[in-house]
Amino acid sequence: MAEPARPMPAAAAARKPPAEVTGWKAALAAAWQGFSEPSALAFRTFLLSLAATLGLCLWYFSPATLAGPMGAFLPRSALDAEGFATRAALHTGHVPPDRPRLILLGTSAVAQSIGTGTLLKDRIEAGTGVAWDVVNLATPQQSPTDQFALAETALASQTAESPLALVAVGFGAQRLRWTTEQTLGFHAMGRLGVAHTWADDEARLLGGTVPARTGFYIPDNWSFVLLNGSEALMRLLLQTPARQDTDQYVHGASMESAARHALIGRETRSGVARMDAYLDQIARLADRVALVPNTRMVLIEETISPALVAEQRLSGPRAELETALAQRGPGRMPPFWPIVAEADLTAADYFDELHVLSGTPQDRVQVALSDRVIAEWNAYDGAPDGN
Amino acid sequence: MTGPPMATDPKAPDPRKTLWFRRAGAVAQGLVLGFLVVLAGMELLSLAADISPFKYQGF
Repeated sequence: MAEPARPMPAAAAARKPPAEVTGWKAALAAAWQGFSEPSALAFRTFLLSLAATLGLCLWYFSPATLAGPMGAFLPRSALDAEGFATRAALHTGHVPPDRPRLILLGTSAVAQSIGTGTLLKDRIEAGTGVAWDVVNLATPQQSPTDQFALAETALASQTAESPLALVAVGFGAQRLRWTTEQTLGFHAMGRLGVAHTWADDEARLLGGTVPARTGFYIPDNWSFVLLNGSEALMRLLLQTPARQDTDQYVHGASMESAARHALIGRETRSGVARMDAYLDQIARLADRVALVPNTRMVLIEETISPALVAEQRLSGPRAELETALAQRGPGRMPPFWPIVAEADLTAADYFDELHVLSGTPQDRVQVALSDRVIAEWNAYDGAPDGN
Repeated sequence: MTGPPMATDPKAPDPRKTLWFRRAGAVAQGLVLGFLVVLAGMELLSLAADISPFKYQGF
């Protein structure tokens, strides 16, 4: 027996949906049905979307696109130093320079000692009276071939009419740790999505084999594209670029340990036997850079804690390296700027054995480097050298 | 009285609109799947090639 109809309470009556909602409910139900059930139209659209997304990949992963504003979506996260360096190098190499540029190459120690580089840029501009671009291409454990690749990419836009490009390359006894095998192994990783000619030539010279290059960005940078592809496309779709954490090397707990100290010490001391090979490699990079018009290369001291130097008896290798560099002569080797010594850093200024703390220690390194850049600028006559 | 609404029922959904929304849903399905399949393909290829982000000091 049916229940007798009860009168609707006043509040419920007030909440009763208007008649047109019935139409929207039907519309949503129809849309959900179309979205959730297979159909010929959905499959056709899927194929079109697949082709369009692959086309988007071809467009996005090209040097011209990554060098432009869309390249901001390339880095996977705030810690993706290789992504930021790739983007910066491609941008620098594609945009004709209208002002002098300071291009920094080196390891995480260089990156951390410069930080955001704001003070460095401000002081250089104040000291030279002209606007500068400071391009920090330092990456964690930057290999020698990484430096060849980044320098080639960033200097691609440099012409005989361009203002000065100053390439500052991290230098120090700790770089003696790079063995040939390690250099070739890192080269094979394809951590950067940049030009390969200089780096491949260097790898061949070291006895390594390099993959055949096609001249197309995606196959030539396959590992880099696969690693960054999905995040970059999602960031592009959502329009949410990552913001670089320039001080990432001093965040979190320190990984410093006695074992790491011993490893760095042992590898650096054994690297003294490779000193000539290291200096030859620097000379080859300098020779490459010298062929680019209006470009100078200098060596800047990489930070290393005085405590580690004392503990691991690294004063000897450091002095030997600087002496060997000086003995090769200023005409054959780039000038060396001991900016860490000039910044007068102590062990208390370091977060760990290689990275300085944020703030005042970074400022002192930036002051020392900017003073050197200003002096170099004042000595530079500004005339195109016609290389 | 129960049963399917009559064609002249003013509350009955417009069949043309219903079809339009169903098609819109199907197009959305295809767009989303096409995009995600490419992303998933890249992730699978990077796993197959054993490519992982370079880790330094635990980053």
